[in-house]
Amino acid sequence: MNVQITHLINSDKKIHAVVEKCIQCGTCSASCPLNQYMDYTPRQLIALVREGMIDEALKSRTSWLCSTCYLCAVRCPVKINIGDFMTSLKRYAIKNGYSDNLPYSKLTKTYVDLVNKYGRISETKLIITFSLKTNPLKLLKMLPLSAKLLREGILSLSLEKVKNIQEIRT
Amino acid sequence: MFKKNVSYYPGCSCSKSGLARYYGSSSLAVLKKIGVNVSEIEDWNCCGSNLYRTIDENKAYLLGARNLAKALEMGLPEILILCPACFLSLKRTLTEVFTNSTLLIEVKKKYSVFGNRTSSIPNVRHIIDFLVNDIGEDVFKKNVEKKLDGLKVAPYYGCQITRPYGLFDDPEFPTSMERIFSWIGANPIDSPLKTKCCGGMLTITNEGEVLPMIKKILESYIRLGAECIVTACPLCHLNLEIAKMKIKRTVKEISNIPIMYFTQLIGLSFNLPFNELGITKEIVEHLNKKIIVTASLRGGKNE
Amino acid sequence: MNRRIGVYICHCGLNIASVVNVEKLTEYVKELEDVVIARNYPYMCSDPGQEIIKKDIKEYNLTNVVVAACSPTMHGPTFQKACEEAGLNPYMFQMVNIREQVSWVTDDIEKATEKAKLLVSAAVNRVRFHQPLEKILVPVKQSILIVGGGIAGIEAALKIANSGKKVYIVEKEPSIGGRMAQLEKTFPTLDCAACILTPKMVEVASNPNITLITYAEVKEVSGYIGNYRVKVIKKPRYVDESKCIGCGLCAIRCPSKVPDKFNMGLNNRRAIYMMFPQAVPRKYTIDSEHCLFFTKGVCRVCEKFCPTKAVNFDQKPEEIVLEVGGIILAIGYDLFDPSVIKRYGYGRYMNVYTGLEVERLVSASGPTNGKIILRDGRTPSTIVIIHCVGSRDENYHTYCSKICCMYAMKLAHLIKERLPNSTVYELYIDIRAHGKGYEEFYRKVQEEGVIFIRGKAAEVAEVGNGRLSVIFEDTLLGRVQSIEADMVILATAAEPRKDAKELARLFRVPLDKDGFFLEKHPKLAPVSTVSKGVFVAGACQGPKDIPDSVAQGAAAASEALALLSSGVIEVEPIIAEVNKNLCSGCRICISTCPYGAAVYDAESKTATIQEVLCQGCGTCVASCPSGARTLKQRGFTDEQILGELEMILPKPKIKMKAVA
Ligand SMILES: Cc1cc2nc3c(=O)[nH]c(=O)nc-3n(C[C@H](O)[C@H](O)[C@H](O)COP(=O)(O)OP(=O)(O)OC[C@H]3O[C@@H](n4cnc5c(N)ncnc54)[C@H](O)[C@@H]3O)c2cc1C
Ligand code: SF4
Ligand code: SF4
Repeated sequence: MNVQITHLINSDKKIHAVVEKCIQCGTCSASCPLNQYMDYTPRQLIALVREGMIDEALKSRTSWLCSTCYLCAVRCPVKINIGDFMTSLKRYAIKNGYSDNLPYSKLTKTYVDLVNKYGRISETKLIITFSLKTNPLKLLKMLPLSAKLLREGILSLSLEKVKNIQEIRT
Repeated sequence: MFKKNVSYYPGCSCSKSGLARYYGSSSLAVLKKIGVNVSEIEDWNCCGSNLYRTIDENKAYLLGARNLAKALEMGLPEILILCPACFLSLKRTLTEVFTNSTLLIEVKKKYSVFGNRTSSIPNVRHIIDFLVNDIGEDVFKKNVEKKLDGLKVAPYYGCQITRPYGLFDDPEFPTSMERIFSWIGANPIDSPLKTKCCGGMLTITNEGEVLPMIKKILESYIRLGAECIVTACPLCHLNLEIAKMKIKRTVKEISNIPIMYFTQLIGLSFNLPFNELGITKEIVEHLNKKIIVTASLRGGKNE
Repeated sequence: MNRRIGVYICHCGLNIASVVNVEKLTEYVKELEDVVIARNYPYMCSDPGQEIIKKDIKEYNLTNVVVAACSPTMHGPTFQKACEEAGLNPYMFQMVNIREQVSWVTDDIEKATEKAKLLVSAAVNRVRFHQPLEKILVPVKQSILIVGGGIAGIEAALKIANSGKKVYIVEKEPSIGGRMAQLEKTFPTLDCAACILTPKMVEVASNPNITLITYAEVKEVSGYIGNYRVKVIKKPRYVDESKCIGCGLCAIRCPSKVPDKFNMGLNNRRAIYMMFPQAVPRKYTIDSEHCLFFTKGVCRVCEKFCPTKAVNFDQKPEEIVLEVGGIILAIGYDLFDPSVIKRYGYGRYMNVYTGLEVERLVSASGPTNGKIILRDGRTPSTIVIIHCVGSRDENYHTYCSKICCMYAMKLAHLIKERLPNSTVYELYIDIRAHGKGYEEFYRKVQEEGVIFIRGKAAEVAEVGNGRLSVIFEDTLLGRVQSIEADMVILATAAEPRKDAKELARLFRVPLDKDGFFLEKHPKLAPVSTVSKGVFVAGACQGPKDIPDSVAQGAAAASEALALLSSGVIEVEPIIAEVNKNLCSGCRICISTCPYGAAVYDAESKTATIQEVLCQGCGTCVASCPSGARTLKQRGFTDEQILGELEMILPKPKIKMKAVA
């Protein structure tokens, strides 16, 4: 085993279980609603990690397209939670600088910043902050929907803060 | 009369300032009518959702555990949750805390109530589970004031209500919402896509890939003759609304199909005030046209 | 009695000697009270090893022998025999396990040696209280009961009957034949199942040594190896078997139609029916659940039309008691119900079938006379067969069901034979074609144009007009694909019979983790069970094809015959014993004995233990209120057990030889 795979596996026991158990049946791939956009199918991603091709696995867009709907997880014949495996890979990729420019990575960071600051989030604030960081034009595109939501009194910019915020930050 | 005390975790989306605030308010109104005594968890915080977990798993569980601890401190270990993502996060936190000894030690250190021998183990419940399995048909029927006879309702569960744990219903083919609908007179429509993914957070980052999926779901419901699409998840709801906007011009039928929270529909049959349910008059009038009226009541109290 | 004890410590190669300091142990043991000789040796169980013991018994005039080696279930009998051969009563012997319980569970030489010392000294102190016991001999009843008349049971019955011994077959259904009777052709040679099975069934019916009890189930079992007493309930057929000539005139007239279970519900039969044309016995049966007379109180049409007046609505369940020497369980298997895997749509989509259903569909005697016609009347042109449905899946059964790959390929072949222009796909994870001629069969089917795709089907969806779409990943291409098909066949797993648990309890045979009957040893005793005199054969021991089921049937028969020809069996004398002088006749032991061995003797007003029934479990001994002097367990007396404990408990008062 190369150094990288040992490191990756040790970083997360969930990855370890996946690598040990998968029988490469492809149920997960064919269950995935986003498989057609992936460069590697979920099953192939597992094979890559298992065979030590970590770099390739981390550069793949597959895990970033996982919406964690867990259809794979409830179908896998060896009870692997592939959705969690994807989350673990994403976490490892973010930590090791593989994904600094990916929108999803930015979204998670924006989210965590908001939570660390307020203890809660507001979707509106999340989307606006995120869009300003990535694609401000998109905000314009979302106007019609925003208008509808505003009209229905759903959109709101206010955000309640957790009172005992110290408990969150530590 | 049904009496029960539970704590309530609104989560960011269903809170008073969240996108799904009417999911929250309609649920509370329905529970109140049934006789459930609901207390919001004091000073709750983010559930430690999957987005947070993607950055810091341990911290995500600590965030989740703070909410559980607050419920325990209130002496209300049974926690009702509406948002499926929050439900999953807190359920997962619970499982992890009690199976991962290092985490348990950390949590006990931070929230002493966990180490307290006399406090019970928290019980995380999704509202659908609670309504179907604890409240049940008899109590429900007693509260129905206006039967939604004949209304063709399409339940859309989305993913995380039943997955990955499959706690109270089949992970792919659940039927709990259908049962509730039958109690209020509505006709559930069964689509094989009812638990297929709405794309979740990916609508924000990967709209191009995700939209076709949601469109497919919407189209399936139209084909089956849905008169109203009902969700139980803030994100599903938002994504369906987005898709509806996008296909409105090409698929005309869609503009006539309201997308609502299932508790709003229940509220309608319980004859609860529209402002609490957060439904517009147009929607109600539209739905009324579809309902085969058997009872004398038509419309809501506000009219 | 003056005790002279010999102690023998085995190295078991390095198994024991590498962890336990055998020299130190031997030196220690030599100093124990009453020990006259202690030795260690590389392999005590070997011939020379046993010789040492025999020689010492004579030379040192030993009264007791202790061997510290492996597990007594492994070599206890070996050393007992050695003692006996040297003229020592085998119950004066005791074995200590210092391998599984000491050397295999630690690397700590110091601690291991200390533990071994404790265990050996306990045994030495125990044998000081041993008394000679005599083995009990009982004659073996010269007949065998076979439960289940599938191919495994049939094979066993014929082997035993042809060697001149009596056999009873108890079969649950109205006919013997089992699953094999439902099959069309059989892999890998493709001979027709009926052609090879029917002659055997007929032979069963005509063999004078075989008593066939069909439509019957075992209700109660008592006794032990060589002497079993089995109570069987024969359900009423409402047709007198001695009168029915199988003409079928009744069924033609019967107005009540019911889904035909034998044909997997693909067509209807009548309420009065024969399971299949070659049924043995060729007798009709009334299915009382669907018979109009039984459900509505009117009809009795069959009665009128029966030319021999065989119909008898007054028949009652019949109780039959069998006394047999041994038992063979051959109840076969059930098939996994695929409707629980909702995503495959079985039960929801009309054109999703199970393998066994298709087996009936292609059968010449089946509901369509062998024509492949779908439930909606169409003839399929694209067929997808999904492997591993319910097997190799931790959500259902973890094990490989072994027969499904083969029968899936056989069905593909049969479909190709009937519909040469059809396209047949097999979606598999791995092809398991392990038997003789099986790989060749796989190649043959592939050459016939069946398309093999490596990937487990994720889901079956309906696309309209009864057509289905199967979604999977072609794992060799790494691409998610879908096939539009007219027919989907699920190769469902074999699973234990629903009543296997109940039978396991009745016959005291354990089940394995999957719920099949557990054999005594997977390699060396494949058809024996830990319940002596009870054997297993066929698919009830694990998924099996016909060749393996037949082989096991024959193997079980030879085990059973060996038992019968031994004539007598030795029963361990480790049983309970009542001291009549002290027994007050309270009868508590009688109510606690699980084997019905403790009975009340009205004459002496005391309890009596029936020697041959007692299993030596000790339950009665523990329950006797007046203590162990009244009711004692031979081989486990209080003195013996306390003697052992005295040495093991903290601060043992180790009895050392007095320094002279
Ligand atoms: C679709 C399909 C196709 C197959 N094709 C082939 C093939 O081509 N070639 C091949 O080699 N194998 C094939 N097999 C496997 C074959 O069916 C089995 O190997 C064989 O039937 C096992 O025989 P058995 O006697 O052990 O069990 P069974 O055939 O199941 O017989 C058991 C008998 O016991 C009876 N019984 C059950 N419970 C009780 C009870 N409590 N009391 C009394 N009696 C009871 C049953 O009624 C039955 O008669 C196929 C299997 C399937 C599912
Ligand atoms: S479904 Fe499970 S076993 Fe099959 S390829 Fe995916 S992870 Fe591996
Ligand atoms: S009584 Fe009638 S229904 Fe019953 S078996 Fe005879 S003919 Fe059929």
